[in-house]
Amino acid sequence: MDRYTIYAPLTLGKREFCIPNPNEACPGCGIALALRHIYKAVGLPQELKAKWRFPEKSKNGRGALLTLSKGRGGDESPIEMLIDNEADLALTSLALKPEPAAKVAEGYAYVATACSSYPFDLIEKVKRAQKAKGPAFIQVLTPCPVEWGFSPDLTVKIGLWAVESRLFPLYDAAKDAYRITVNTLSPRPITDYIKAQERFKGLSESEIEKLGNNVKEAYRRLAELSQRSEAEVNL
Amino acid sequence: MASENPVGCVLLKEGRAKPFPRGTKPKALPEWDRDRCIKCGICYLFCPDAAITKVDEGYFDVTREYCKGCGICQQECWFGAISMAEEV
Repeated sequence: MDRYTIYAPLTLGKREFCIPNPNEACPGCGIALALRHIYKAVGLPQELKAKWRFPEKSKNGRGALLTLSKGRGGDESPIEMLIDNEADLALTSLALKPEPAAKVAEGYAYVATACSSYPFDLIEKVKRAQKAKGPAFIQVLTPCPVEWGFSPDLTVKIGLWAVESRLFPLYDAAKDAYRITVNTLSPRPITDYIKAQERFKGLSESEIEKLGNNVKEAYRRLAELSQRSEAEVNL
Repeated sequence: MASENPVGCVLLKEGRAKPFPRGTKPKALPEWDRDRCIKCGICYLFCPDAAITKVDEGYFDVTREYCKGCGICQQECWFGAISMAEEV
C-alpha cells in the first residue's frame, strides 16, 4: 500500500471551524459530524464565531433549521438546511420525506438531500447550493445514538445503511430536474437498518414489510423523475 | 420513546451534555497500530469532534481534550489499525 500517498480524506480543507471546546454534543453525534463538514464547506458564519453552537430547533416541524448565507460570490438568498435527526417522526411515515418535494414545489432553485455519512457528497451539495441562483434547501440526515438507540460507534454505519437500503436516497433537484447522486445498485435489506436500532423495537414483521414496500415505491418514483430529467441538472 | 420527547437530541442550552459520560466505553481513547495504518485519513474524516489530527510522518493521533471515546474511528478503519484503549 505504500505506493499510494494521496487519499480522498486528505484533500479536505485543513482548517477546523467547530473545534468544540464547550461542546454540547453527545459521543458519536451525527449532527456534530454534519456541522463540521458544512462549516468546512462554507466557513463559520460571523455570528457563530465566538462559540460553536447547535442550530435551534425549527418552529414548525422536526429537526433543526440552520440558515446560512451564501458568502462571497453568492447572491442574497439563504441556504436553508434541515438538520434532520428524525427526533419526533412518526415511524410509519419514515419512508416518505415530504420536505424536499415541498421545497421543489415552492420554487427553490436548488434542493438536495444529504447524509453525514457521505461527507464529500454533503460538501459538494453545499457548494452547489452556494452557486445556485435563488434560495436553496438541503435536508441532512444525522443519526442520533441517544434517540435512535444504537451504540455511538455505529453513527456512520447507520447513516450508510439508511442510504444503501434506499430509505433515504441522496439526490438533488434544480427546477424539477432530479438527479440521484449516490447510486445504490444492489440495495441493502431494510431489516439491517431496522434491527440495529432500539427505536424500532415495537415494529412487527408486517409493519416492516409495509415500510419496505413504501420505500420501494418512493424510490421507484424518484428514479422515474431522475431518468426523465437527468440531462437537465446543470449547475 | 421518540414521540415523548419533543426536542429530541437537539440540545438547546450549552453545557447540557455534561451529564453524558465520555462514551459507552468510559475514557477509552483510540490508539493507532502504525504497522497497519496506511495514513488514509478515514478516521480524521469521520471524527465528529474534530479530535483527530495529522502528526509526524502522516500518521494520525487524537487530541485527548476533545475525544469523547465514541469509537467511530475504530469502527470505520478499514485495516483495523485503531483500537480503543483504556486511558491510564
